[in-house]
Amino acid sequence: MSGVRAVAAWPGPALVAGVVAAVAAGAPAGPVLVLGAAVAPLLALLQPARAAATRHPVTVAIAGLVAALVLSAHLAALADTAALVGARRWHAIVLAAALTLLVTLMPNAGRRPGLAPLIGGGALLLVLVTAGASTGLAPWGAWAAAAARPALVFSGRSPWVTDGERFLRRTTLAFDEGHRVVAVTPGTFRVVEADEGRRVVRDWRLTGGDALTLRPGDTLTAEAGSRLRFEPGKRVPGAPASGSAWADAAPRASPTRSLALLATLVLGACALVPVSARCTTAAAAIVLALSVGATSWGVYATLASPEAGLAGSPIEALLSLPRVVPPSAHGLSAGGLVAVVVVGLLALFIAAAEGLRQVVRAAAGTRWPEVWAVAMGAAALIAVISIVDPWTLLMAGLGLAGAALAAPRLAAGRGAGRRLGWPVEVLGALVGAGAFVALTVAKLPAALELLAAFPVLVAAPLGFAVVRALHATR
Amino acid sequence: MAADRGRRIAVVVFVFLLLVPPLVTVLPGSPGTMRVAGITLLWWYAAVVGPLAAALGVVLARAVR
Repeated sequence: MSGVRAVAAWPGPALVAGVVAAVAAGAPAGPVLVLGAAVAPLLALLQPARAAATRHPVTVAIAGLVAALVLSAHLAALADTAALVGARRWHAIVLAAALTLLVTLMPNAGRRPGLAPLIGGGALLLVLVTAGASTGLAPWGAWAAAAARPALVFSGRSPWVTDGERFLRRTTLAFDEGHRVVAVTPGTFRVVEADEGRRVVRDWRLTGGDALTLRPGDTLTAEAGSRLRFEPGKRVPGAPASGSAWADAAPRASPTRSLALLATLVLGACALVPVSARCTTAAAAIVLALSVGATSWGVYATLASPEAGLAGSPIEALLSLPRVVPPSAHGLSAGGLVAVVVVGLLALFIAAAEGLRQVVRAAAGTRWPEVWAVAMGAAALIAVISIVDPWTLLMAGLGLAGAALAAPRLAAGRGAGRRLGWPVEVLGALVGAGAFVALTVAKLPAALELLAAFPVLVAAPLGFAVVRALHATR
Repeated sequence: MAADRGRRIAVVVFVFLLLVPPLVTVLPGSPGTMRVAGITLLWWYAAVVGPLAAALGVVLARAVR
């Protein structure tokens, strides 16, 4: 298996958008996310060689569920892209799912495994270079310029100021200074006022053109689909206070959350990236491009459009860069560059889907060929009805993969035998998956919030321990 | 046997590479906030040095096999 094919399942649209958005927003976990997204698949390539995968209906079901969750994350990212360019979400989901099923089920599918990642990466690189050149700044120069801003404010050219933009998901904004927002379309907005230590909740029913005045300390909750217009020159709600705060947010990251994020990424990669890659140079080049490219994209995005992220989707940061490119930039218009981004994301989705199909195939063999189509259908359904953002779905998929596929497999090594009539690895997978689902749906106390956010921290060690314990009892 | 040893060493090195940012955040004096060419050390490491070291590491580990 080539290196390109081995890591093809990794940099899908949801992961790329998530990394770019974290950098653009100055998220404290940004550096850990960039590093983890690049190093995790390479670490997975170093897994020990193992016997053929245990073929069992339970393993097939878990692999199918993992594929459905990860695919739904990528489909949700494509749906957000469609919504931000004015198309319908479900159109994008159905079209992308149908096209990808067609491509991956063609008789010659997989003959050119490097084509889709090459198109996807090349398209995004073209936009990044064009947009970077239009600013006249190298990525490190853009970083320094972004860090030197006294405040992150709405520019007069921002679509959030000129026409108003739409919230893709229910979003709560915290205001640090007085701000007058205008409803573009009718909607209900919840304002929580901080009044001398008391919290006063008011629901406002606004029609198009109505204004709402917010004071420092207030929060505003906008429902999905509502549109607002902001004032130019005012601080972006929820953004770091200044460029310096944006640049220095990372050292304030919680070490435990950083470790939990790394565990999710590494175990997820161990489940999705196959061991038997021959040419690792290509794989190394891909993840290197991911780390440098996504970081540069995020830096240019925050410099050009610090409000990218208000809509409630990481895709907004990805699309903000081509949207601010001046019309004369190398003959490519902003609309043309957005189209190139859309093509790039679709190609990355097809590449990721082909990689996930290999994961399902490794679990199911040739006995259940319909599992892949069912996983894609389930992913489309999840993406249509889901109200959470693509990143949440991706973390769920990677976490489940780590707990129920990677941990039992690493514990079993070259085979752990059978107990109670079942393969030990399958019993470990059942325990890992059960613990993951239980922790995900359970209402945990606030003190265990970390486990609710990263269930893999408990589920993976449980799956691992069960396999080791059963293997030791002869 | 030598190949397996090389792989194990590479895994340990990779885990260390991943643990550097969380470790840096708890060190006194915030060394991660020092700036080189305008960018903090932590970001240089996370976006360039760490991934580059990992890329070289995986190529070397595979070459030993």
